[in-house]
Amino acid sequence: MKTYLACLVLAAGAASTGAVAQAAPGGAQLVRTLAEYRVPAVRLQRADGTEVRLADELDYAGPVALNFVFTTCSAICPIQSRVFAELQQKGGPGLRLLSISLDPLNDTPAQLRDYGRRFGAGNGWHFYTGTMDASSAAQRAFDVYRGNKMNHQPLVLLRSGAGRKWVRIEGYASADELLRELRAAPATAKNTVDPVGANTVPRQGAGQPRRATVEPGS
Amino acid sequence: MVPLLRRLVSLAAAALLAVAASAGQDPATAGQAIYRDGVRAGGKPLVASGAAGVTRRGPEAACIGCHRRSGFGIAEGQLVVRPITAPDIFGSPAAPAGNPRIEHQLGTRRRPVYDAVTLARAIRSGIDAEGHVMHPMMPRYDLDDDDMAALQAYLKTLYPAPDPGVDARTIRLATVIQPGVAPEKRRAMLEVLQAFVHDKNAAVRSEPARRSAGGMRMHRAWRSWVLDVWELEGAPDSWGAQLERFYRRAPVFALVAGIGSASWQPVHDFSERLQVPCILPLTSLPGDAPGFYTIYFSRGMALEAGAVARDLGRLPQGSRVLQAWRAGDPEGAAGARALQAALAGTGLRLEQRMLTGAPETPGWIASTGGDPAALVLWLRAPDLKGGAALSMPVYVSGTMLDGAAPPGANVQMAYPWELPRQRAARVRRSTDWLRARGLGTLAPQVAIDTRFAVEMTGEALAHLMDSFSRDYFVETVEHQVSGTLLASSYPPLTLGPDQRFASKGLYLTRSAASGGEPMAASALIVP
Repeated sequence: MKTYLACLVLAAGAASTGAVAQAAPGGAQLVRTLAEYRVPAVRLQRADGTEVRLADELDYAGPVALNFVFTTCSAICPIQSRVFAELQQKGGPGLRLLSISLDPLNDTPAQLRDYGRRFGAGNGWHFYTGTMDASSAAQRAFDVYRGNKMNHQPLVLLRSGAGRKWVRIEGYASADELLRELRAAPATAKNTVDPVGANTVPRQGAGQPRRATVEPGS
Repeated sequence: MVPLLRRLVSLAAAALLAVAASAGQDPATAGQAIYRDGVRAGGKPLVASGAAGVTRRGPEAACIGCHRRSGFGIAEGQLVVRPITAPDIFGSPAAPAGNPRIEHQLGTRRRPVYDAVTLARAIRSGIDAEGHVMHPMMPRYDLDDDDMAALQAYLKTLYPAPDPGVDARTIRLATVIQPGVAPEKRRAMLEVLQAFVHDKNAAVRSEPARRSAGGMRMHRAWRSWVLDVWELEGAPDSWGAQLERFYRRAPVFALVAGIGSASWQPVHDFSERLQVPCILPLTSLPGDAPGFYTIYFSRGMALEAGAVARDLGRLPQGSRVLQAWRAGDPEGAAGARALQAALAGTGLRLEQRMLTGAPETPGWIASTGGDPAALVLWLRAPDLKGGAALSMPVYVSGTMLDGAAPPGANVQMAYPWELPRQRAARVRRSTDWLRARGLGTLAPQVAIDTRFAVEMTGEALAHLMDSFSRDYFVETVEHQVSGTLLASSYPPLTLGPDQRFASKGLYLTRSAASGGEPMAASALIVP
């Protein structure tokens, strides 16, 4: 009976202060990291069937957003892909988006084309598959390899222009938050100290990125 | 004051149920459509807002995405979705076996149970039973009272008790054998299953005593296995009734492995109808209706045909392709049917011939009107004598030839297994296990894949602890298949939510005139 009482009181409290939901505890925050990644010599297959080199696909002067998804994921990936769809709409035609499959054996080019259509992917948003080894190499290069696709996490990598550092955002970032990040001052400006292997903020459950600074999430 | 509150709460719950009843549809059925498909009463899409500021609609907003069909939830990276089965949410009298999964895994982190009002608040506003704000991955749902009552009625049906086939001491399983399977393959499968069950049962210990000794990590569901052998006979259209008779006599929790040379469809349909999982049957002819309960090694003949079609795509437009199969051979017919479908609209001219006479000589090809640009032979060894004398590209089926293709630089075999050298290394654990028991010489591939199927079944059952939900079992196999230490004879296996074919690709191989193992003529082809 005490349970009922407590719940009703709290329900009233929650209803009167809409801000409660914003202060969501338990992993809802974003972790923002600046990082440099060396892109390995990996060949991938784009959803249009073309064999490409990952380095060439990333060799782009404009802003780039990269994530890792798989088409049968029913929890995290649909949200990440909705965010990319909105980001593409708001970011304009100059923004290049790349989604690399974590499940390349299942995600054939045809499967990825269907997936792109489902999320309304426009011209500048490309999906990639390849061999297991190629996908794993791409995952390792960006420190997202977790041994099994089911261990993946919500994560976006942003680069505001060629030669700039990558901004790694872990957590459920909205399209607007990503857009603000892309439009902020160049990532190198704040990063005057090169803290190789230092100054990392501990976080639970994931490996520490190397060669990276961490700044508080916005 | 307190009794008044109690009364208010129960009145509110009764009102919710009354609203649902007035809608005319069984509330639990309407609730299932919300939970599984994201469809509200009247066909309106479910709408939810949550993580990353994303508004999810329809199927993307459906509960099943994260809570899964079983209600036991998922663990993806750092995202852990806790069980929302009826005992977990409402605290109703749990299964006779209890729910030690919660006690042992979650320990003291148990939450108070929900009632209709607090659950509605959780679903609409994301406030949990203790008044905490839930993670934004739990969306906030815009549901009216009818839909809310329907959804809650459905949640009460989620795993209220263990599924049949399990009691306090035993887990009952069965394996299905179709008529007409080669005797050595049938025996190879049965011997491996029986040896595994024998060892497993010999190892069952006094687990209840250990449970109380060591806290959460000690818990493991130790039960003896009982393995029934369901031998089918007669025509395939009578198999469904035979399976149901077996099942009524002694319900099993799941089917493990199984073997056949005809279509698996009747068994597949039985599994869907009675919701009995079937884990990795040895068949090249999987059921083609969409389903949840059967997990296959591969698409079998359809996968072979897909890879051959992919390779034929290199021929010039308008090229003539001739395929042949023998009347009454279901694998050959399935290969031919799948190739026809795969080549439709490609610009290649496909001609077909069903052989009916005695084993043919290559002469029959000339009688079809000249040499085709390529020949696809869904035939077995007796029909292939003399094939090497042909000069055009010839494709043959690895499944139908048991991996032994006729030699010839022009002959390519659709080879659905891992390449011989790699495979030998990968299946080492299984072959050691088999050798130690004097097994694995009769039909090595059958033995290795049976060993894999039964290992997968055992690992998933152990993971369930005492939550014997068949749906959760299937989801667990889905999750674990790529992580197990053993390997099958196929290329690396992977599954994901609703994926039902674990091996996705195959190789084209050639055999040297001097004999020896098939050699890769292609990278892994994933059609």
